[in-house]
Amino acid sequence: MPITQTTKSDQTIKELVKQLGSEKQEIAFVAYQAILEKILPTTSYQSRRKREHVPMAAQLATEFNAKTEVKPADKKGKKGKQEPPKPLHSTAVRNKVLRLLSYTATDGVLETIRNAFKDLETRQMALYVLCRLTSDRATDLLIEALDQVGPTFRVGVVNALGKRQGEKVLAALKKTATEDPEAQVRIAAVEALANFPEPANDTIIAQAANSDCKHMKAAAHKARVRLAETLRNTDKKSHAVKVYNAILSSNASQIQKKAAKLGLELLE
Amino acid sequence: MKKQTLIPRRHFLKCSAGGLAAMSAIPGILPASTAKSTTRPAPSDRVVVGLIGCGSLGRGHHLSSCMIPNPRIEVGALCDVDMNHLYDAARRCKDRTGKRVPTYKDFRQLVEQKDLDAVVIATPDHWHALNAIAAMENGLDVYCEKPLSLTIEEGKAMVAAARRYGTVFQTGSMQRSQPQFRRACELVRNNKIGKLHTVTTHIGKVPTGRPKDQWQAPQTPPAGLDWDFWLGPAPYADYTPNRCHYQFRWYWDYSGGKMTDWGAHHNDIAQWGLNMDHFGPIMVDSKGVYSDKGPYDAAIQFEVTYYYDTDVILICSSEPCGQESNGIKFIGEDGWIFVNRRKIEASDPDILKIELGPDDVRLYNTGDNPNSFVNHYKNWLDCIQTRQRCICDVEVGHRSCTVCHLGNISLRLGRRLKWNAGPMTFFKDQTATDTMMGRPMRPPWHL
Repeated sequence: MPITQTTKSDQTIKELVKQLGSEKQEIAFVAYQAILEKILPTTSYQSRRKREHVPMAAQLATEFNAKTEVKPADKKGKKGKQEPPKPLHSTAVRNKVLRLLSYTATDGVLETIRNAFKDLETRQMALYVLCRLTSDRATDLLIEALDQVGPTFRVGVVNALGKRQGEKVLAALKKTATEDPEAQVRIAAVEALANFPEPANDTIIAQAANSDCKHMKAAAHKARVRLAETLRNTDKKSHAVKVYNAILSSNASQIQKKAAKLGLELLE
Repeated sequence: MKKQTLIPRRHFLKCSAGGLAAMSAIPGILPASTAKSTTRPAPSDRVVVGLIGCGSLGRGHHLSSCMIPNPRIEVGALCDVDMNHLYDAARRCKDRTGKRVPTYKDFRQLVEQKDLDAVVIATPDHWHALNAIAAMENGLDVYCEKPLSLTIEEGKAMVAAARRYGTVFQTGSMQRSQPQFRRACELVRNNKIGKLHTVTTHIGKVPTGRPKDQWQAPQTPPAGLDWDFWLGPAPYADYTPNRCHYQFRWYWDYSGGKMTDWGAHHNDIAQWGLNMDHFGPIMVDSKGVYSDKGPYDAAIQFEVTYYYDTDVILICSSEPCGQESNGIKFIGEDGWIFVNRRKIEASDPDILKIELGPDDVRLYNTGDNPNSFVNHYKNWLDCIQTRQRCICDVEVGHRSCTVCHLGNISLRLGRRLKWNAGPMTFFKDQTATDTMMGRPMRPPWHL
């Protein structure tokens, strides 16, 4: 049977997004795939150069931000106040829109993502989008997100920042590693610091390795080994040697010390 | 409980820097015969293995057929997020060995168990990297089911961790331990079909049309299944029976469809025959079809073409090869060889009778037992002792799996991709780099 491509839908993004909320899963599924088929071709190198993906992102953002219309004569709340407009689409649909946006997002939709962060039910998917947007402004928004409530969410933000580089990111992670009130967030930040080829990070990580918290201690010892590897791989070999030797003379487990020995052998 | 006898298998590295350099080279052939003991090894010589993932493959195959009956293995612990699977595995273990082993829901606790030497990982694909890295960070050797990873980024992280900790890592691409696949690749590598120009792999289609392939209403997960933990790093989705437990294979969030299900086997053999274990294709193109009604979102029918810098193309297809629905065909200027788990055949039967000479390329030989799992496990256990690299070392698994991921990425983006096979990066494709090399994980999970 010959392989034939499916025919692209001629419905608009707006029409398809509405179908994402269908109670019939099949309809919602088909709409999702149809939107993907519209946006993905605009993400090729040539299309991006022509910025064909930008209007796609804008349309999706518009749908995410769409609110119900509230006419003046409409019902008022108990206190006689006008009900504020609500999101037009359900949480489930808005999360699907965000996920689609992650393929084609640009800085132009950062305000949409900032708005999505304000909603506890959409902020996780907003983070998903931001993870795939690598611009400086997107990174700034990630750093802002460190102020969000909920340690699990902040762990996600830290993990996302840990994949980026730059002075601002490093400063934010250092602050989080020492000042966040939640241990799991501090642990995540310590782990993230190992991704930066910054010898000074060893001071923070080493301090964490002396923590009373068993989980912090274990995470920090592993992070030290990874930091040494990061330094080794970015030509800061003398610093890598220092960190490896520090691990060997520390109270790290035999497993981490073995990794340090292996790392030193590779430098010889 | 910590073992009293000491021949530590979670041992310190025995080899020197020179030995380490030797380890870095492509391993030679293991001795054709290791001394077979006719008696059960002493407890101190057995490898204590934990099993992470007690589903049908984990407990039905690995535990029951490969671990419990193996005199060189002592089952040390079991882990699964589904208590039904976990306790069934524990019961099997107790019934057959008389031993109650510790059971865990959380793999992070299993890998901290002091008396373990290694783990077998048989969880869904989206868990492989996190399970394996946690094990390696705790000094354990690893046998990880194929496909090695869910994304290219995960595979890279697994390779890095294995090298960091000196892990003996076996990918479960056990076809390399099945004699006819090795034979086919040796004949190809020694030009017995002339200059190779095309390889085709035939891996079948995503199943559709069965009752369980239809849409199911979201429902409460069964008692005993921690659904949120099963999802782990994947985006949240409501539970339906056909979203997990085997059927996860057809969902992008947990796997890669037939491409990573069977493609991970046959594209691995293709890579072996192409001598591409430390490299890969430089360009990928594809055509494919997705379901027009769901629920599965992996490509159901496809043809992916990979271009190598040796002027060989690999075509991975969901379509059969003649009468054979599944297998690999190597096509050279002077003939062809077709091989699958049931047979090997050639354009000229005399090709299969060729005896290789002393100067011919010989490939890693794990043994001639017709049961590939016997050879594959033996190779892993031998390497745990010798600290050599396994036949399907983590890098081999990663490179083969990457071939599959590239195919899926090309299918998903609907375009040709250019790939820098050495450093494993995309060429001039920001979307592929930002959205397909890796995927954001649901916190708290991260690589």
